[in-house]
Amino acid sequence: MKAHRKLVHSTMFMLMILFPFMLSMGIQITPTQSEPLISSPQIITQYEFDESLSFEERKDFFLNISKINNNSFYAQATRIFFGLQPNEAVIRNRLEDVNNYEDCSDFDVNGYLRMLYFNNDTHVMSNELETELKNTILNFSYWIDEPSSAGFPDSSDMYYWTENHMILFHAAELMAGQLYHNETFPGSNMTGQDHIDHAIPLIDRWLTWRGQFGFSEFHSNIYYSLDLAALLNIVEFSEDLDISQKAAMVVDQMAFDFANNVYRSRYATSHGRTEDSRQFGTSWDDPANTESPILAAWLLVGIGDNDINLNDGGNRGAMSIATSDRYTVPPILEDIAKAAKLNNEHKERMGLNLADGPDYGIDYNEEDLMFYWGMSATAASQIIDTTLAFQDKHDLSTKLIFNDPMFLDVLNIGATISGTDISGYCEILGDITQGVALESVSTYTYRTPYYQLSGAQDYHKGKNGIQEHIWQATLDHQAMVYTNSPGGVSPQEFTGGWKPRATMYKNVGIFQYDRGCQSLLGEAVIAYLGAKFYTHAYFPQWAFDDVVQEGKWTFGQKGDAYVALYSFEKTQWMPNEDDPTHPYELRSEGKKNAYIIELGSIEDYASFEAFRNAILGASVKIRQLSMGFDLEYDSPSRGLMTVAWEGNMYADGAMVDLGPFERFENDYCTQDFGTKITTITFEGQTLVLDFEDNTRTYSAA
Amino acid sequence: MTNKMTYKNIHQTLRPGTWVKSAIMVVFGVLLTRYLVGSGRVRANLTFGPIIFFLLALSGMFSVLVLGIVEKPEKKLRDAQIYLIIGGVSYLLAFGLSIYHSARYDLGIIPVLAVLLIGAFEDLIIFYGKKWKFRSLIPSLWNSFLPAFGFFYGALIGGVIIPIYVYLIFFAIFSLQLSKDIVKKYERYKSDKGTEDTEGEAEEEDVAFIDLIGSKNLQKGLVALLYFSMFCIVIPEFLSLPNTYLYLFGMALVLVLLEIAALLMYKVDLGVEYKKKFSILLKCGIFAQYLMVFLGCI
Repeated sequence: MKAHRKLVHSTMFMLMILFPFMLSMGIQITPTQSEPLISSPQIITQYEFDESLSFEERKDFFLNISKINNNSFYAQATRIFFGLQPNEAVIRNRLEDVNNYEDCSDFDVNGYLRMLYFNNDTHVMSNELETELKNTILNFSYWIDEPSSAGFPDSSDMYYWTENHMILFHAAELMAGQLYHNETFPGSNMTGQDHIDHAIPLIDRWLTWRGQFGFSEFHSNIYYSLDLAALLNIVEFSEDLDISQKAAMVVDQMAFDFANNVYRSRYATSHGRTEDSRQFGTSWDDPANTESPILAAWLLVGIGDNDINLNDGGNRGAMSIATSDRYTVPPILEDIAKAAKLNNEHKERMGLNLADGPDYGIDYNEEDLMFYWGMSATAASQIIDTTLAFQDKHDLSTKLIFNDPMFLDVLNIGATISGTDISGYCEILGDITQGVALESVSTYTYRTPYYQLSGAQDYHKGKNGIQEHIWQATLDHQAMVYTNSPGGVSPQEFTGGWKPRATMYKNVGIFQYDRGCQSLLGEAVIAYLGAKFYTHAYFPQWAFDDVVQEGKWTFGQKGDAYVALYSFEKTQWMPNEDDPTHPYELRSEGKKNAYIIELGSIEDYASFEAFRNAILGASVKIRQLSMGFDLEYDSPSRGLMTVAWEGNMYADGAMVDLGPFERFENDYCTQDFGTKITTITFEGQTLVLDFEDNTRTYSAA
Repeated sequence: MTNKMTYKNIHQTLRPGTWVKSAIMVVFGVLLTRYLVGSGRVRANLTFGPIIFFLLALSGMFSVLVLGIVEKPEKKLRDAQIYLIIGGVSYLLAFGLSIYHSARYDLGIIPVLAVLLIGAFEDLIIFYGKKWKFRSLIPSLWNSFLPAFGFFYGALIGGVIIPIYVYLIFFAIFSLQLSKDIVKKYERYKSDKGTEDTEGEAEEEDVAFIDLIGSKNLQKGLVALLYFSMFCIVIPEFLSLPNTYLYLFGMALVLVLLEIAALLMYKVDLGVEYKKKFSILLKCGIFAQYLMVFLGCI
């Protein structure tokens, strides 16, 4: 065993040495068909974080954990990859749901396909299971417009159309078509080749959109993991190498995002789509969940620390990276992650505004509809007519498209009493119908060794959202602070809801909550969905060393890092049943409030007390406007900061960049928004991701 | 008119309906301009605005009651003092609430000035009302002004530049209510003259006022007021009301009622014949007008 491990390590070492050398010659990275690496299982019970590991070592590290996990679904793919007998019961557990076309079956189908591809090499699956899986794959529905045959379940209950679902379905279709190339898929009466021909243009379109505009589901700490699973299936198994190359380039962009935004094992920035369980915890016994892309981020660029759950061998994104031999992360991204780990100022813009689509050749017609559906803009005024025509054409359920079966009725009633058509009424309800759309977002990240402040700069103020998380101050894995105004179409408490005007400059952020009034019907619907007449801050006392409230300020200390949160309206700690002495929710009555956050550290202040005194001595002048506020905050670290609901923000007399940003603006990359070539440079290394010519070039001096 | 202030007299002068109407019109004023104001402020305005204006309307109508006593030495001055205290207390409550409302929500000085304006009018009525030759118009003017100004106040506390349609609807409410009140006065006047029956309750001042301007001029004035009101109702349809579609239905109903009333008014010789339907049409018109404003808010 020892000898074998030595051999593996030696091979890894050689690869580590040779790979950068090969790349340094400026060669294009093109994928090749390669045999999977097969190692013997090792029983290791304790894993510790080691930041010195290379990409291949991290993969090896993860695989060693994953392959001994006998109970996790995705770990079974690792076991098959290694030629180990999988736990077939675990694999079968999900078959019934997939065979019944339950929502999210596309997640599992991508897992099944990866298993089947590996099994073609290792042949460890029983014939019975292989046959069952084959039948599932052949009978599955791969897209909305697929003709369905009699005798098959109704596939219209599956969400096909969010950004992550789209690529998952397309990747699955391509892989299935390739795997059963000459067979006829009874569910659709299409051959494998038909499916390949159908999938490739859709994949290419999706990849080009991401390459040019980034993700609409920006920085999602849920769906990036699923995106990675789909992308790496394409990278690893696509027989069309152009598509494989393009998918690898999108993975590179995601890795670059991770390098710039992941902090203390948290994807510590704004998220287009997330959920409460990822964002808040009630006690050390029930902390905020580990975000699924974190392990993938560590695998890709080595960013993270001891808080990563390295024992999660069933993480689908990580498994997909670790079992993909065609994908190798360009070393420049790992080096940037290391360099930016303690200090970084990063600006980035992702997604398109609805109104800007036609300027980029993305029209409001059926051909481009999926771009807008991918940004959850199904009910936006520009899109709704095409949406309804498409719904009618493919007999899709209202709930699947609008999240609520009643929504269309509300639109019809609203349109009737407003004397307009549905599109017109969607415009009247713009704060909601446009609000839930994940439009162009400028995210800002300011990182020091002690804390990170990050969020969506001046994004969708006063609009309602479903799953957005706008900003957060992160001191460590659990000690983080953010605010939210729950209500509207989001049922969640700490994510979604009414978005603030978030304005950040380095270690200081000012967040104004208010919203416009809706039509009376709109207000009635909001009230029906659950009117929550408060804003609140997540400030988990249990995760901090010390928390002190003085006046309108709440202070927190975690190690040598300090945070101060100001609330214009009076706040109160809400009871925490899990840990009564350490509440986590700081609530303020009313929907209009302004919060100020300032972060500091031992480097700037002699002590936590000194930090508190400095903040308490700072002048705060806030005037309520008809909409929002007019604020003046004399920050001890940044000077006089002024901002209102409209207009610019100033810090010490200088105008703060509130966006819109370019695609990337940081020390490593400056790329104009809407262009298709990402050039990343660092210490003599260059990575060019050219989505126009579909080339991925790495060079090192 | 008897010298004794009966409960009916007091009720007729105080017009509790006007207090409620004024408070409701504040709600309409807030709602009609809500797209220009954040929901936080709208919620605060819907909470405080109607209460403030209810108290203001109450104190305003008490000032009319006080005027009625002050100018008649035969009436008990003690009653006037009681009414003055009630009116004063309610005004002070309104003023205090207005100060709190403005300070708490940074509304600025304008809403407080609006409350002071009402107070100034009340003082004028109490102290100088009896010297005005058209003083019998004061209850009607006040009764028309308060709901209209309540609507204006609702828009004012939003703290934004007030849209033109708010001014227009203010004038529409005021002029229509005033028309109705004057017609009602005339009705009492005709009733008194025709039957010599004191149940008509026509005040000497009413008679003096109508005799002063003459039936013909009154008739012309009423027609002009009604057309002015119609003009002020039509224009907002073309401005940015929250719901111009439903407003249109309300507007059509009001216009039909007012047009019939105006035509009747124009055709008949008021000095010779008075038709009871004037009053009914205008009452219906006022109700339809409130409905119209409400529909415009939806």
